[in-house]
Amino acid sequence: MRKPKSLLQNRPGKTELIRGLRTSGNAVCFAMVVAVGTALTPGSGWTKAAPRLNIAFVVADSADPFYLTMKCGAMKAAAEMNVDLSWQGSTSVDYAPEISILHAVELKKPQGIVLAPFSPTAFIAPVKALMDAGTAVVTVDGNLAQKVELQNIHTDNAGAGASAADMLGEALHGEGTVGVITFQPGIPVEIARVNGFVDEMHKRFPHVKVLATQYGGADAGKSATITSGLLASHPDIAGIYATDTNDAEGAASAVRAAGDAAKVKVVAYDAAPEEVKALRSGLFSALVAQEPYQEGYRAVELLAKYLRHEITKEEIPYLYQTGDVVVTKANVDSPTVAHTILYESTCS
Amino acid sequence: MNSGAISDLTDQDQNDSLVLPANWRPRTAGPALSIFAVDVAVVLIFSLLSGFVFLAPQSLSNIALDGSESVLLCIGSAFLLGAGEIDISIGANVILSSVVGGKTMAALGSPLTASLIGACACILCGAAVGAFNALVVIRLRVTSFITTLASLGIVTGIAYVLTNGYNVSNVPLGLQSDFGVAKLGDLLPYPALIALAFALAAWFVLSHTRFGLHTLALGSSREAAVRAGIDVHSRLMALFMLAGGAAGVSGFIDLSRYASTNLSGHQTDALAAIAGAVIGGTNLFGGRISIGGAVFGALLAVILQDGLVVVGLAAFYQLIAVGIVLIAAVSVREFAQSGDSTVPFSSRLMALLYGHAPTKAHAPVGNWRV
Repeated sequence: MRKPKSLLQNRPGKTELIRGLRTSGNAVCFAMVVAVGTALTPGSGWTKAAPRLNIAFVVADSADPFYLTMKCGAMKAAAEMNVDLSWQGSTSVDYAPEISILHAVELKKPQGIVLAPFSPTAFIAPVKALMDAGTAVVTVDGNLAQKVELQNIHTDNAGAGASAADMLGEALHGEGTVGVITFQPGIPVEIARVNGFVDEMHKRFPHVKVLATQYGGADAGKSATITSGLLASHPDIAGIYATDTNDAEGAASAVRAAGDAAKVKVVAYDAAPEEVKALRSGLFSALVAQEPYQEGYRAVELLAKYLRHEITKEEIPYLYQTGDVVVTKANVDSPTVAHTILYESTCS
Repeated sequence: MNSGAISDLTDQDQNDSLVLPANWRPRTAGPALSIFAVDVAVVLIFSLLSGFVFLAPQSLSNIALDGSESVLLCIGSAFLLGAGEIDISIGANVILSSVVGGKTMAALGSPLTASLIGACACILCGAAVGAFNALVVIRLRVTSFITTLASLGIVTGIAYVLTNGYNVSNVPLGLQSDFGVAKLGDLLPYPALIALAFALAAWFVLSHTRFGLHTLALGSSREAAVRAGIDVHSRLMALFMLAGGAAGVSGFIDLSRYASTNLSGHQTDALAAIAGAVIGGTNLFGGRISIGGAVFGALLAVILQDGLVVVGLAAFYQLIAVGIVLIAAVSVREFAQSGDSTVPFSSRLMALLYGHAPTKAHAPVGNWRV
């Protein structure tokens, strides 16, 4: 390849240079006009209206209807409180990618962060660092082992497990065998749901035998296999408690396949659309629904009020517990339950 | 003729009767440079898209920290892949090592000694799992694919049994605050420095020692290596323990970053480690290793993950984007280099699954030159 004679062989002539300067000068003026115009329009930070806040919401397992419903609540609060909400989530239940996402979100310097921590210990250090640096943090759904955040909003999982135990114990009239299927070892909310159930069962219905906890891995196929095994090895089994959506569906399908739908009552956690359909068709006896919409709404609302100094830190209680509702065929179509409790995949 | 290490070795050691072209070098520099260029390009693109937030020092040290465990596992996998073996249990190994190390630390008293002894416990546990894998491969003659698939389950089960399903979280907090999330000079995270040291040591071992040479020989043609007199069994044991030790160090870093084990995590670690090594230029079927490539391949995944969050892409689209960039990165690398071995893919796959070295009847000798 021949080397060109001079690197400046194709340099622009004087006319081109002046034209270029004029164009870039015009561009700079235009940009300045646009910038000033944006700044002066209502809703921007320069006017006297409530300043628009920048809040980030970090979750894991973001495809779960539970978190999609929480997102609906959060976005409603963001629209009402003039907040720019940026929603980021990983697609697995592993806390390590969620921590990476939290660090990446920090780079954009939001004024507040709502976090759904999937580990009670791993998030303590990052949240503490954020609070010390002046970014307010509210945690939802999970909780931290040390109280380092502004507020923690979560369902009383143990209490909800106890509600499920009450429901199942009464349905069994205090006698029989029940099986428990949960997601995976090591997940604090699952542990709380199981322990709440087991403790209440032992306390109120001591004659009900609770089998050892099985792990379905949120895999409907696997939990169906486990349930078939339980039905075969314990013919007197009369109830199954599943602590999350997929495991509940697997259990219900195995019960139906074994023809034991009348004999074995399945109580499931959460009220995802597929579960509600199964409840209506009689596959589930009851659903223990949480209130993710409320959790998302209240978290964003609280942060917005705190960041606008409408409420001080001392006035904020550390823990805010949202409730649980036992949904049965009797109340699934009632207005309160249908509109506020059932989970949705898209926001209405 | 040249001052390279290879001719020195063949002169020194009369027992090693490997005959190589005089200007032979292990192929290392080429692929690493291509993937490094891809990394830099991706960083620049994300920087432009994010208003240069992505280039901030905090962001770069995030990438280094997030990549430290991945780099360790990719290097361990690269060595094994280069020798024609595979380790799918490496993620479970990380979990078990962190469990053993965590329980050791929780049982001891003062934070500093507990941390050091815990680190040793992590590495020893990782190496022990590697040794188990090696024993099954060598003695029971089970192909490494099946062996490590089985040990994946065994090791995960042992971790659950030891912890009864609960994460070990009473790790000395000083370990996290002074090491796991701490940085040297406020810029270089300590775990990243460990990964860097490991990478440099691995590069040295690969390109300047007999061990590295034998590793490549094992992967290139197992039969020829046996006939040349290489002690295949001890090399394989050393390689599996090396990969296991890397997993052990990764488990220690995991513990120190999060002050907790992660029983439900590390599901895709093994796949990501193999992917990082292969993206970086290590041959999936043996015979070529690139340490630099493994490092930059590991970092590519981390850059993508962090960058897509910083530019604000929704989580579901991130999965699509990562896949597309992966294809683009490797095709860039392949175009940038000369052609690879011409052994057909089907016979390589059969060889991997059934445990013998792929037939190299069609591979020209010229393949070995850079």
